[in-house]
Amino acid sequence: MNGPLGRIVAFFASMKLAVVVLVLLGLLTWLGTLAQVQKGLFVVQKEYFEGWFVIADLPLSFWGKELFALRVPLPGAMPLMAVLFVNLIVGGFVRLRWSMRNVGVLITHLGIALLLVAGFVKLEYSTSGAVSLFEAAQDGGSDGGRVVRSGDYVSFHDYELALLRDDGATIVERTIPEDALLPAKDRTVTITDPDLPFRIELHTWFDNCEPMQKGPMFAASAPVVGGVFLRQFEVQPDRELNVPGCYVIVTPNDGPRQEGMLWGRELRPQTDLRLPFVFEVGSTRYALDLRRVMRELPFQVQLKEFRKTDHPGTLTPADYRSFVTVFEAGKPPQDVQIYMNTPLRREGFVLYQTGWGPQDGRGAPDFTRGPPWYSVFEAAENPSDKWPEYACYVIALGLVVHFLMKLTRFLKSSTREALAS
Amino acid sequence: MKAIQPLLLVLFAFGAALAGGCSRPSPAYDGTMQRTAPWDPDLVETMASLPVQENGRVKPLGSFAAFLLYAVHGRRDLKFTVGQGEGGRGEGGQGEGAQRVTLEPTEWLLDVWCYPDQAADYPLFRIENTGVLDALGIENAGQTLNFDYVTFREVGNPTTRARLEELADQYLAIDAKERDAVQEHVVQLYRQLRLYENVHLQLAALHTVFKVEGDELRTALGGETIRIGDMVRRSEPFRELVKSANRNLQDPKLGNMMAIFGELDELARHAALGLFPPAAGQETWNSIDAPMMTAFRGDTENGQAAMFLSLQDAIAADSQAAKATGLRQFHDAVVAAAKARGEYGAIDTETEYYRASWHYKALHWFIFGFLLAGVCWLVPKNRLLWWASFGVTSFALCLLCYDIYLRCVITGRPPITRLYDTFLFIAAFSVLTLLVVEWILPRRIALGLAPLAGALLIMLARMFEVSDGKDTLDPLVAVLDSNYWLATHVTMINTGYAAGLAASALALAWVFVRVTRIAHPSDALSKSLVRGVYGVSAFSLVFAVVGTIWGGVWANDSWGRFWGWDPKENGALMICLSQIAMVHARMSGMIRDFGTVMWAAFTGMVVMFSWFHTNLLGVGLHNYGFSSGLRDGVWTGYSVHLGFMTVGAIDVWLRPDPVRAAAAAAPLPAES
Repeated sequence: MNGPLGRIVAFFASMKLAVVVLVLLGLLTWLGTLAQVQKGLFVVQKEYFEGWFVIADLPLSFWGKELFALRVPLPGAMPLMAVLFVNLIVGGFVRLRWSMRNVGVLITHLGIALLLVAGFVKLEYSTSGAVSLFEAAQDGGSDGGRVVRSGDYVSFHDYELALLRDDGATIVERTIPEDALLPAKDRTVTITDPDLPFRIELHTWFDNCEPMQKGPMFAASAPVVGGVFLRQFEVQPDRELNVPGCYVIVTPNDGPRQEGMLWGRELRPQTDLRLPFVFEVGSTRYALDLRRVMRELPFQVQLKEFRKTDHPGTLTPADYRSFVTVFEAGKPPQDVQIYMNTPLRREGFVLYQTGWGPQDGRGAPDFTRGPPWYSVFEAAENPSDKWPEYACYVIALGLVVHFLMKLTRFLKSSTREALAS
Repeated sequence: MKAIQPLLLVLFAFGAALAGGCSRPSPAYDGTMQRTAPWDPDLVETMASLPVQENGRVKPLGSFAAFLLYAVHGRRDLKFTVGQGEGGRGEGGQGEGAQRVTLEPTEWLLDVWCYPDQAADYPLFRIENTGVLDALGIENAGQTLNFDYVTFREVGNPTTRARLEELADQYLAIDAKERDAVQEHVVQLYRQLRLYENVHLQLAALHTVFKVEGDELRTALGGETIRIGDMVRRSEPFRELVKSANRNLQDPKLGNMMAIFGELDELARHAALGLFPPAAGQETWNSIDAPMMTAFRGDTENGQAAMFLSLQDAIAADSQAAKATGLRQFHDAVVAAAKARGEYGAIDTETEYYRASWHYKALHWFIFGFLLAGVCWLVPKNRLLWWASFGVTSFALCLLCYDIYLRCVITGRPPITRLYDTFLFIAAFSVLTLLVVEWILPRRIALGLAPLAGALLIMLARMFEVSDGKDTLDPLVAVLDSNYWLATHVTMINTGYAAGLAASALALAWVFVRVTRIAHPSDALSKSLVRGVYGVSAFSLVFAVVGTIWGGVWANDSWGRFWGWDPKENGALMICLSQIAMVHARMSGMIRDFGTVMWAAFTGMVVMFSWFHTNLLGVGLHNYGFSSGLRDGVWTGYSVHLGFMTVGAIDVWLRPDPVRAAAAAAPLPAES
C-alpha cells in the first residue's frame, strides 16, 4: 500500500510508535504515582489518567531528600491509550504476518486489545457507589431512624443538584450534574427553564465547607444568610472527605427573591433525612438538594447482622462479613453472606464488602458497650466486569506459547552452541 | 579473561580488610551479675518452645524474644563484656579477666523475667547520636564512631523517663518527614522503651514481696511478708476471712488487704503477651492478672492456678536450679493446655525454624559458591570447579527453598504473605533463573551472579527484619485472607520481579566485562550475556504482565474495581511497560546490544521502585509493608544501577566496539 494512506497506515502500524507510546505511558504512570503523595488519588486520576493533557510535576530527589521539581508537559493517558489501541490493531493484527511462528504474538495482542476495550467500557459505562446499612432491629424493634434497608447506592465522589417539586401526592424530581454547578466557584451560575416559574442562581461554591453560625466576635469569610455562613476548609486529597456547598438565590417570575445555601453532607446510614433548601413559589413547595448522585439497584438489601472477628488479643480484624437479605420483585427474600473476596453478584450488579463503622461499634445486642455497627458495601455496575479476567487468560496463553516457541528454537539452534562454547 | 585475575585478587583483599575493620568492641556491663552461671542450654531450648500469644497468634517464646530484641536492641543477640571495663561509655573491657557474654534471645528474656535487676543494667538501647544522650541529660563522652548503649535503668528511671516522654510528645507533633536525626531518634527510643518496659515489668507482681498488716490477715495468709503465690496457696483461709468480714472490705480484720490489691492492680497492668491459655470458649490468652484472680477464687478447672504457681515458684526461687524446675513445670503445663486447645500447632516447627535459620545457612553457602565461582574465573578451564560452584549454589538454593517451605508450613499460607517473604522468594527465584541461564549458556558469569544475588538479597532480608523489628509470621488482615489469590497473583508478580532483577544483574555484568575489557562487545561472552538479558527479560515479562492483570482481577473480585492507580499497581504496570517497550524497541531495530542491556538495567530500577519504593510513599492500599528502613536499600540499588549505566555509557562513547569501528573504517570493496 503506497501513497498517503499507506504512509498513515505505516505510521500507525509502526513498532517505533508503540515504543514511544509505551515509554510515555510509563513516564506518565511514574509521575502520576509520585504526584499522589501531594495531590491524592482522585485528583491525580482525573488529571493524569483520565485526562488528555497534563503538566506533570517531576520532583527530583536523592536519598529521600527533594532537590527541585520540574514541570513536564505530557499527553494524558486517554490519548496515549487510544493511539496504543490503534497501533495494536493496525500493527499487531493487520500488518503482522499471520503464521504459526507468530501465533503467540497474535494471541497476546488479541488479549491486550480485549483488555483495553474492557477498560474503555468500564470508564464510559460503569457506575459505582456505596450502600451503607445498619443492622435491622430484631423482633420488630425500632431502628431509630437509621437506614437498615436500601435499594439505592450513592456515588463516592460525584454530586448533583436535585430540584424537587411537591405535588401533594408525589414528589417530582429533576437533577443537574455537578459539572454544570462547578463554575459557581468563580461566577454566578444561572439555571432557568421555561417550565419553571423561577430562576435559580448559584454562587460562591466551596469544594469543602461546613455551615457555621456567625458569631459577634469574628468576621465571616463568606456571605451570611439567616445568621449562618459557609465556612471554607482546605480541600483534602482524599475526595470523599470533602463536602461541597454553595449559596443559592431563587428569583420567582413574580415575587421576592429568596436566598439560602446548599450543603452536600451525606447523612446515611445514620438517617436518610436530607437538609435541602426549601422554598415556595405560588402555592407550590420546592426544594433544592445538593447531594451525591444516587442510583437505583434492581433489588433491595437489608442488613440482618454484621459480624467482625479480630485476631485474638488484637484489634486487627481477621474477618468481617455481613448477613443480608435480598429482596427481588416477584421472588421470595433470600439470605446471603457478603465478605472479603466474596461479593454478591445479582442482575448485572455486584455488591462488595468494603468497610464498617464506627470503629468503637458493637454487634447486637451488645449496644450498651458501644454504638451499633453499620456495614458499607460498594455497589458496581460494569458491563465489562469479567472481561479483564478473560483477557488475562488469553494474554497468558499467548505469552507462554510465544516464549516457549522462542526458547525451544534457541535451545536447538547453532547460535546457542556458538555462544555457550 | 586474564584481565580479571588481578582485579579479583584486589577485590578479595579489599573484602578481607573490610571484614576485619568492621568488628566493634562489645559494650561493657556495669551492674552486678546476679545469675552466676549460664542458663542450662536444655532449659533455654525448652523455654524457647513455650507457647505464648502475641499479635493474634500463638507462637514460641523464642520468636517473641527474638523480635523484641530486634525491635529494642537492633540485633538478634545481646553481646557485652563483664569486668575489666576501661574507657568511656559503651567500650567493653579488652584486658585479661574480661568475660565476653553473648545472650541468645530466650536467654536474655529469661534474665529479664527472672533477674530483672541484672537485666536492667544490660547495654540494651543503641544510641547512634549522642545528641539524644545530651537531650536526656545522660553523661557521655561525645560522638564517636562506636555506638553508645544505654540501660533500662538509665533511661527508665522516673526522671529520665519523664524527660524522654516529654520530648517524644513534642517531636511526635512534628511531621515525621520534618524531624531531624535527634528528634527521630528520641521518638524511636521512646517507642523502644515502651515496648521493653511492658515485658520487663510483666512479671513484676511475682517479684514483689508484700508486707501484711493485721493479725487475722497474717494468720490467713501465713506470714508477715508474702508473695502473690503465697496468697494463692492460702486462698481458702483467705476467702474464709473475707467471708467472715461479711464481705465488708473496710473491716479492720482484713488489715491492709485493699492496699495490697491496689498495688497488685498497678503491678499486673503490664500485659506484653498472653502467657496463660484461657478457659474454654475464649480465644485471648491471659497475662498474670486473670489467672491470679482465678486462683484467688479457688477455680482450678482450666489449670491456670497450677501454671501460675509454677511461674511464681520459678520467679521467687533463690537458686538457678530451682528457677529452672519451676520454669519447666510452667512450660509443661502451658504446652499441655495449648495442645488440649489445639493451639500448639506448628510451635515445634517454628522453634526449630528459628533455631536452624536455614536462610542464614544458605547465605554462607552462597558466599562459598561465589568464592568458588571467583576461583573458577581464575582457572577457567577447570570443569570441576564449575561443577563445584554450581553444586554449592544449588545446595544453598535448596536450603533457602526449605526455609521458604517451612514458613509455608508454619503459617499455612503460600510463600509470600508480607514484604519480608518477598526477599526470600525473590532471592530464591533470582538464583534459580541465573542458574538456568548458566546451564544454558555456561560462561561462568551467571555462575558468579547467582550466589552473589542470593547472598545480597538474604542480607537485605535480614536488614529489613532488623529495621522492621516485627514478627514476620504474624496473621494477615482480612483482605489478604485468600490462599488462592496469594498463591497466584502474589507469586506470579514476584516471579516477574525476580527475573527482572536477574536480567538487570546480567546487564550490569555486561557493562562490567566491557568496561574492564574482559571481553569485547562482539565476543561470544558479551553476546551470550545479551542473549541472557533478553531471554530473562522475556521470561520476566510473561509473569509481570500476567501477574499484574491477575492482581487487577483479584481487586475486581474483592472491592469492585479492576484498576485503581494505586502506587503498587502502577509500579507493576511500569515494569510491564518498560519490558514491552524494550522488546518492541529491539525488534524494530531502535536498540541493539548496548541499548538492550541499558534498558534491562533501567528496568531493574523500575522493579526496585515497584518492590520497595512504592511502600515508602506512604499512600495507597498496599499498606502491609511500609518501612523507612528500606530507604537506604532502595537508594543504594538505584545508585549502583545508575553508576554502572553511566560508566557503561561513557565507555561506549569513548571506546566504541572495536570490531564495528574497524568494519566502519575499512575501505569499501571495489565494485566489480
